[in-house]
Amino acid sequence: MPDLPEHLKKPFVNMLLAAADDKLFLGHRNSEWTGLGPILEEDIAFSSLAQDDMAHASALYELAGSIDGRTPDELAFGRTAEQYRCAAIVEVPDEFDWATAIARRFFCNHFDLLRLTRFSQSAYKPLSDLARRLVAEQQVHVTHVDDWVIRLGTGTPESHKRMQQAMDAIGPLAPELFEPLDDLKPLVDAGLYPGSDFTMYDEWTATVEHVLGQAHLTVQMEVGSPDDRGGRRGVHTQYLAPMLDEMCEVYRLEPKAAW
Amino acid sequence: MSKLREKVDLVTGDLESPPEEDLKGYVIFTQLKMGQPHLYAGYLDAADDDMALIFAREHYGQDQECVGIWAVPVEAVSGTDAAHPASHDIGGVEMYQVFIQARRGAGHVSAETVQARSPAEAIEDAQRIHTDPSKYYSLWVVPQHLIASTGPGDVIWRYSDQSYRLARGYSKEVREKWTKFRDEGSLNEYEKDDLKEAF
Repeated sequence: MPDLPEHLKKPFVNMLLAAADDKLFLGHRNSEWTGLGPILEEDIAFSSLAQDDMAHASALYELAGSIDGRTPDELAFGRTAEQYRCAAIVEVPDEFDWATAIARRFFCNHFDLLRLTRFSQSAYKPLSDLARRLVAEQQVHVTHVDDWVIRLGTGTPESHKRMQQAMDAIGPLAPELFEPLDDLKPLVDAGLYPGSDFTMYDEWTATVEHVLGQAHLTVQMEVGSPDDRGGRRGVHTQYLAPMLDEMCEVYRLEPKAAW
Repeated sequence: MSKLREKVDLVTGDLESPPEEDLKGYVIFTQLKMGQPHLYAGYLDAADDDMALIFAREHYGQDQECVGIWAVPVEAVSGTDAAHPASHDIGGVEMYQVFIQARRGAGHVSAETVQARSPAEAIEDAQRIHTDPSKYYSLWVVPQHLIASTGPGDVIWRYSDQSYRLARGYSKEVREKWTKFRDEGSLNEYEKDDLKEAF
């Protein structure tokens, strides 16, 4: 195991947790759809992709745990709400509105593709090795969600209207994915998280707007002030705690059990 | 089960907008290893080729390790079986993919390609290659340009460990946990507690 400078371990683990937490809750929210998908085959596909998100979260938790000694289960289920680093967009319920579920995935999937690409260039080899295969898998998610966004955006007047409403509702939450994590700069400087958030943001908005253009949809997004504390710094929506309670119900019965 | 789901209003009865012509049937073939033939995997419904491939990737592509997928509209399949009658209408010469079903109940497997002016002609050509009717049960032919295919670099089966999706992966995992549990000597303790509670 290559050495990580002692003072960078905490922010590095924090960064991995942000990525894993996003995946965990996105996967959980999407798994809520199992059995309720709009058509049978999409139900299977959506559940399969949600499983993938869980697999990605699990791999990232394992890596974080290899640095700070906690198990993936402890990291996934053994923290209090304010110790999670996920963004608000993965917390809010979609009320089982298909357009909302797709809009949420759309912003998150494109963000994750870019974040994982930066991970794949990390100087920390265990991360870059892991991220290279996650990037390839993430591409599957992007292909799936782009297809739906364009299909619904350009489908019937009804599907366009509902997709646009979902973009209006979810879009404003999306830039919060970019809320800066604590002590990120030393990681960037050390090549552990190469690239810059500004470049990544430009790339993300360009891609997102390009696809939305093809889908005849628009989105209003504004970057918040760096002083607005959100999910990346442990300030969460009202929806996280109940979701956690539900997800951790079994784990909390016997935290040391190997399920 | 998520508590949120208890609040979902499930729609019953007829849909507000009728689904006619929204979806069509596709036959899916999967290739398990590079260079190997494509094997019949099953059917699915999709709006078009792109959607059929996306669905097939997540459904039939996750049944086992898989490197390639073909999606063929059901109506593009002609065969020697009654379910897929072959048109005799002569058109331009085109390439047909032949699929062989070895015996009744088996899945069709991709074989050679033939050039023909109609599906019926393609079947005749294929039968000239497969002259021994005891060696196969039925033949399918599909115009090659109607086969939608995943690309060579497309990820289908994931690189991440997904063995839990498979029956064998699941039983392996349960066995490992059981062995660990037993080896820890906790079995006696467990049985003791269990008996105490039972009586």
